[in-house]
Amino acid sequence: MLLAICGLPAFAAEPTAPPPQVPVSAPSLAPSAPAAPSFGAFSLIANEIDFYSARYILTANGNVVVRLGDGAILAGDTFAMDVRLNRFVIAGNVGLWAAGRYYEGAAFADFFDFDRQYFVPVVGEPDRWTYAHGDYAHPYRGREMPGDTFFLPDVSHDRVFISSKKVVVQPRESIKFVTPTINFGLAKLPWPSYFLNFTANPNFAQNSLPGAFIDGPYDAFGGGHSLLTAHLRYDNLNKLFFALEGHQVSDKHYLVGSISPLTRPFKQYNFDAFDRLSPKTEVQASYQESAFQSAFTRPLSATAYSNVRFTLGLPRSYLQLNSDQYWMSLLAQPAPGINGLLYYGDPTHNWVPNHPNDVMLSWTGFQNRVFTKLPYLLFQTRAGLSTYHDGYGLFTLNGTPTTTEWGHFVGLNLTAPSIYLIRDPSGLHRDVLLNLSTDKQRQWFSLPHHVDTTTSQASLSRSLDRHLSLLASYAITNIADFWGNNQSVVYPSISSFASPVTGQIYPSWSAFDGFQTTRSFVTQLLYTPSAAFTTSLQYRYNHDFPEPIPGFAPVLGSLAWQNYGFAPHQLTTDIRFRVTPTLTLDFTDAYFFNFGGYQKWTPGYQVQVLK
Amino acid sequence: MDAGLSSSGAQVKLSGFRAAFAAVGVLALALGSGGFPRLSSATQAATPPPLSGPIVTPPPLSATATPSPSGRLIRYSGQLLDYRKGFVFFTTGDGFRVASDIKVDDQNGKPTALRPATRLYARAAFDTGNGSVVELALSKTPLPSEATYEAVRGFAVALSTPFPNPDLKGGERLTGKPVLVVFTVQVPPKTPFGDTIYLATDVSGWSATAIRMDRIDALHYRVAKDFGSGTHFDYRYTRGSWRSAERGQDGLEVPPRHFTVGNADVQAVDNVVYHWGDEDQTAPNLGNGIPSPFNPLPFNTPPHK
Repeated sequence: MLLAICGLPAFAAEPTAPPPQVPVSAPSLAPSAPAAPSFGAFSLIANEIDFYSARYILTANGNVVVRLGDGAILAGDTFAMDVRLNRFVIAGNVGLWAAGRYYEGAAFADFFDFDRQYFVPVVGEPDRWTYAHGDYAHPYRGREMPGDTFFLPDVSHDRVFISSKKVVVQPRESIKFVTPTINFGLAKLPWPSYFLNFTANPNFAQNSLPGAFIDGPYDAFGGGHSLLTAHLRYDNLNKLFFALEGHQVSDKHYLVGSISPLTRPFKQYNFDAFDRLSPKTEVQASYQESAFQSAFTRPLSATAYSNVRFTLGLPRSYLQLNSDQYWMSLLAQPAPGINGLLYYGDPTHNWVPNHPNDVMLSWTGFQNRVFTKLPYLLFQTRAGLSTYHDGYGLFTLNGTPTTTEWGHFVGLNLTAPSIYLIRDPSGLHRDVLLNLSTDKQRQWFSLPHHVDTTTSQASLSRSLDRHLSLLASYAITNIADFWGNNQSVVYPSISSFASPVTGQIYPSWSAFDGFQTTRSFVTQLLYTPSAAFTTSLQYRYNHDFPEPIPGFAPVLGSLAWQNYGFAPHQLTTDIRFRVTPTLTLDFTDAYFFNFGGYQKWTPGYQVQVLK
Repeated sequence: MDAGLSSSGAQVKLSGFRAAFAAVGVLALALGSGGFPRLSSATQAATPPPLSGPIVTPPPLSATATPSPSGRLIRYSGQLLDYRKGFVFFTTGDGFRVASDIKVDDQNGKPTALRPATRLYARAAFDTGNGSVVELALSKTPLPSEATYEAVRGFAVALSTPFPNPDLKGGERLTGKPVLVVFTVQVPPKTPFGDTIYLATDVSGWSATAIRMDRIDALHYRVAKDFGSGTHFDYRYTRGSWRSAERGQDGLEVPPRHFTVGNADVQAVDNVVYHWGDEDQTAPNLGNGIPSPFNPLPFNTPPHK
């Protein structure tokens, strides 16, 4: 009765007899080929439980009690779990209560991936027992154990991230810390709970949040298939704000939703979904809504975009159906305001009626060799149908508005990767390599006109020694929109184009008549003296027509402005070095040589923490 | 803390939850079939087997006792797992018998306030005459070893006869030594010219920008990283976001690539990415909100103020 009430096992003061020796048979599981067992969650209680985030190590000390998912209960003085290796050891005055018996011992280790438990019992004298598949009644006595079975990691030089007195560990997935204290560096603060997700399922990493300069996630709640994360973020527009993101995932699907910023009026709602319907079919969908609203009141502006993509794998090719839908405003038409403009609140929240959409069905082949005896020359073909529609009009030609346009296209890609132009006779791989590729596509439309797109690139590369390599690369892209007799109607000559941000006039735009060319020449010096340090210096020269314009147009659904084209001259440096075995810092900055009298450097140098 | 440190070997000293468990267990055993639930029949029927050796009375710890070896002394250092019932256990999992007149001191042979406990480091002096530990130098930091593990493993006490573990047969012996792994990836020809390629791995929480790669020519990127041999990890290539993660040649999402670091000095990994997740076979002719010379102001949207 008492046991049932307490829910505790009975520990005999004296060790009970070890179970009878059983015939030894080799288990079918081998460490080199672990199966994927399902792991039961286990709870851990101790005087102090610490998590070292840099090394993914969980330790516990003092009155440690572990309740395993298979019903076994362990007690000991100290505990250490390497979360990534998915195994733990408990040592010092160990008590094991399992299969209705109690044993004393020096140490116990559980290797979840291999479903093996290793125990050093002290039954008068020490022994070594190995359990397989949680069968505590039938140990393999005396069987050799892996050499590092009871290894206790040294964390004396590592920083504790979270401390607690109770955690629930779901091996290979998560740790839930109950009423923990979180070390924020400057202060340690008590916290109601913390859910640490470290699952190997990459679907948990799907991110639906827009970019931010700083992002501090706090995994508030979760389980094996779900996660709710609060984010404290910072960007130049919104400053400091909160955001919220939720995941619902499995191996074959994910559903991710977010609101960011949660605490600023310019909100973005994002939803991403993916499902693998069968081994050869999958569907992916995303929805993004941008709204200007105070809290969750009726917005002054709301635009949205959705995309659905269905992919079907075929023999040596695949089919893809892609659909885009834009809502330039989700709000009803407002009453005309100042000067007859349509807007909510003030004219900055203008109302645009268009709801365009497009659908495209494409077929893409695998890469194939052009000639069987020339392995380096590859080709790939594609073709497809498309339609574009906007009930408010796509555009007007010769006074006739067009709401729907059909199209079809074919494309060809030719690639010759890694041709040895000059072989290094010394065998030190200081060869000169040539890469070539060209891509040509023609797209016909019902209106009628056709668009030719051609992209070609070539590069020469050479390693000067083991640490230093050189690259010279050239790429050119031509996009030509052929309208025949209507060319000058569609692309009338304009006197000039002025940047709305800088006011600078770009006269070359008057010559634009539907034919665009971009050219890029890149030289790069890469120096990697060790795996812990890498630096590169890159110079990029762009020569484009029409010429690039900084602050060319506003980004829809945002308050930012975007450039057209690349700065003519760009010098980029990147320095990456490893600070700790698990932490690498990456500094990147680019100089634009006063692009358009407007842009000298990238908006901010980038400091990225890599793991 | 340690039963072996008590005055009697029969005494079991537990604390906290374990003490509670033990107390409940003792009551349950003492009252037998009384008002408390019975233990399982298997437990009740079991008869303790005779111990193979004499019951050991844990020796008192002394910092002044002088060991009197019957053979020569060899010293082995390691980290302690436990010290109980006349045995000292190292993290190798081995239990070594402790001499009755064991001397406990610090690494310089001076008296110490430390007591043998889990996680402490110790240098054990073995009497080769009987294999027992006659001196234990304790420290909170690792101590240099004079003898190899192989020299003392024969002194380990175990009730059962060791036999090979089929789990450990075959396969490469992985020592955890640092191995330089060089990843080189060939990207699709339609990869945007100025884009950066990253390796996303499960050991970095699947961050889409976890490991930045360096461009080595128009179609290839490379990065070299140190990993301990035996490290397993899954990885994927991205262009900085999961929306732009790699896709298979059939356009479908690919399962993560898996890699196990072998015991070589250097390993090379060559991969090919055929498509990216955000790849469009053809850009829609429609002004999709992105201005271009072909459509400078989509939908005649006036600029934001």
